[in-house]
Amino acid sequence: MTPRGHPNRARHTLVAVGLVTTVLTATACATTTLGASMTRPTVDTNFTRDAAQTRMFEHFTETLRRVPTTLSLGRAAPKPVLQAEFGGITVPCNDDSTVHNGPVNLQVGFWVQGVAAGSETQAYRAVVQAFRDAGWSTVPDKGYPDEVTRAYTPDGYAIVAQLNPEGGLSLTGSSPCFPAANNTTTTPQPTTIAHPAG
Amino acid sequence: MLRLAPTLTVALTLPVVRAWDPTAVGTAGAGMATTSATLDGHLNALLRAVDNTTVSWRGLGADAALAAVHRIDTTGNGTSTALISLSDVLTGAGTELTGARAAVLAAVEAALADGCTVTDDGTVTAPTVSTSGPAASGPDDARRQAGVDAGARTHADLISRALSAAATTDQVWAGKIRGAVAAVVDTATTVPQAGPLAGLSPSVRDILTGRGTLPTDPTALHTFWAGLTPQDKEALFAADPFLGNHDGIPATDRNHFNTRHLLVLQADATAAAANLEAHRPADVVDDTRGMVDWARAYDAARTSAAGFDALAAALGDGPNGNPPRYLLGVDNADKAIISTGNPDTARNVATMVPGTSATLTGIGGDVNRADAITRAAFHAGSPSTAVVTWYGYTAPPSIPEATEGHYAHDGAGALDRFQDGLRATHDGPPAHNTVLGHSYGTTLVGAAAQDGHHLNADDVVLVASPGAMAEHASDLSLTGVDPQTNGDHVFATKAQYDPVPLYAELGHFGVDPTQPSFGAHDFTSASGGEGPWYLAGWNFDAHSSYWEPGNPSLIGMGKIVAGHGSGVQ
Repeated sequence: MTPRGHPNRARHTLVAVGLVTTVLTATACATTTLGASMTRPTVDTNFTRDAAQTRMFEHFTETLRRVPTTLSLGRAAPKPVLQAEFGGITVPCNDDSTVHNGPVNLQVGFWVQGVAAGSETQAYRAVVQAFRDAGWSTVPDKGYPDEVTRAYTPDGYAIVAQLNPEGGLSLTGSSPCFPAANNTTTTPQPTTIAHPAG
Repeated sequence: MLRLAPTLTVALTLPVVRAWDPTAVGTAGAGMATTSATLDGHLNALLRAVDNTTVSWRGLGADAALAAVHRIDTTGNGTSTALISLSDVLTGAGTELTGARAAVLAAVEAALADGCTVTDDGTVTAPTVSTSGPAASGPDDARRQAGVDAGARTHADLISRALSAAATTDQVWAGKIRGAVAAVVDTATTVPQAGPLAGLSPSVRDILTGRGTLPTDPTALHTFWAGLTPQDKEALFAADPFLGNHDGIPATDRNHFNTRHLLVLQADATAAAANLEAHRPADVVDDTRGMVDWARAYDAARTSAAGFDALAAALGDGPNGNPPRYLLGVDNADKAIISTGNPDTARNVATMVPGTSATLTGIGGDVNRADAITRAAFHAGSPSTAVVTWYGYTAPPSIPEATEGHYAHDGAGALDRFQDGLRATHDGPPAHNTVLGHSYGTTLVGAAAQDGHHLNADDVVLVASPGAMAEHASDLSLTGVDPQTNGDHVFATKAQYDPVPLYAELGHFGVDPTQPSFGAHDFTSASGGEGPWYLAGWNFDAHSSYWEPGNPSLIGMGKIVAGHGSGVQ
């Protein structure tokens, strides 16, 4: 469920409404200036898409290292009713439309391959345990017991394990933000990641 | 041992269906689209070459050459359009055959999982209940066998029906493919008749001579369009380059005409900017007004050119096997519609409506967000997905204007009609359609479902809403949905520290749809991170955190788009 607002809602509502109707209605430039000074982590101007991709794949491999060797990652749909995965995409890190070419983050998804029929839940739990064994903080989604778990690495990556009702197990990763100017890649993205012990 | 042969007339066998490769059919469809685009490119090059040549070559010979090239162009454009129709048919066939094949294989798999055997013609044999073991007894075995036999009958029936459906699908699409191939051959080999209206259908001639109009109702237009020849479509496009924006025309045809038109719009805008740049007022002091007017026009021209460039880049930015993108709409007023995936063949179709400051120069980011939702729907179990980035309205240019409701009211009719068009052009069974609004986009979505509008969607998602012009979910009218059940079809979410939904507190656009009193299905978003003390903890960055993979809101949107919204919390 959506949180019912700020913890100190009653105290702050008036202030916030004032902000929305007064501060934000001043000028778009003012909004941009305020936005730039807020809590979003500073974007590392030297961070690149290639570096994000390399590190993300290391995290995927680190996950595989801790699960049975029969498992690997790939784009092929694991069930006939599911769709094949596609390549990495970059998504804007903020929605401030007054600023074009703002920072973006890399998002990559894979299906877990090699899951035997009937052992999907077991594989999902093994992946979640791998997140924990790697020392990453994990959050099971409310409303999805044993279905979706989000993991956060200390270096700012998020990785989601999801087991859907059709028995497809997927991993999706996202990187920290990097400047749009660095959103180029010379490294082809692998379409499969083998188990490191395989 | 109970053996159950298929009860329906089945012309297909399991090995044949197993051997089907519908992906190859879909790939052939994509190949036809590529061929069409290549042909367009060659035709453009030919016309440019002849135009350049005839600058210095005049006379009877030049006139004859021009006439010949224009005949080639006419035939070529007609063939290109016919190829697109064939592409559309092949893509549809690929999708439908994929579904039919999956249904057959799933039915067989279920029978095998219960211990039955299934022969190539679909005959199901029930397993024999074991009579050995200490727990076995005659009457018990008989009862168990009866249960197993009943299960086998169900499996046999399901397999039989799935095979029959597959045979019908095969037959129907074979006929459509034959017709589309014949149209390509006819168009490519028929010599164009003299005169602009020669060889056209009477209804098209009426439109071109002002005695008729295209149907405005999307369903009527779809029916009308299906009866047109490639030459008819080309003639309509020549008369109206915005033809591809009409709701009710299939997605592949819209993309075909709009991408051709985009090239023209892009070139015109670039030329206009270059022309203004070459005519910059020389004397600022003596002609201040002239300089101001020039600067305004120059900025507008550059912005327009940049918008079309961004649109072209967003269409071409399909990295690493991403689903193909379709240009469903483009105009010269900063509006465009791009679909990630084919909405006419996908089982799950979502329309994403952005909020304030949605201009073409920023459309690439929203198309990438559509990709993120597409991926989230994949992972939630969607068998096929299309997500539309709908820049089909004039959005408030900045936050101050976002306090005005007329942008939403003005765009409501276009969104309403667009959704009707999606429904009209969809192949096979109706898709599960979702409309997602973000920020001011939710206000537009609300307006498109009220005041006489009926939004053709199964589900609506309101993300970070400042209000959806409604006091209760049941105020929204979704086509085919009882408003009293809207609590199961209207979803809402917001980040804890996102200040934009606070605007709803003013009541201008109705209540915050995440409030219990609204009666929507509320689902989780990450908090968005607490902001600084001087903003009372509110954080504007939270307003754009909904598409991050680590955010449960993206997972929730994927579930809803995949048709599994009832379990989202």
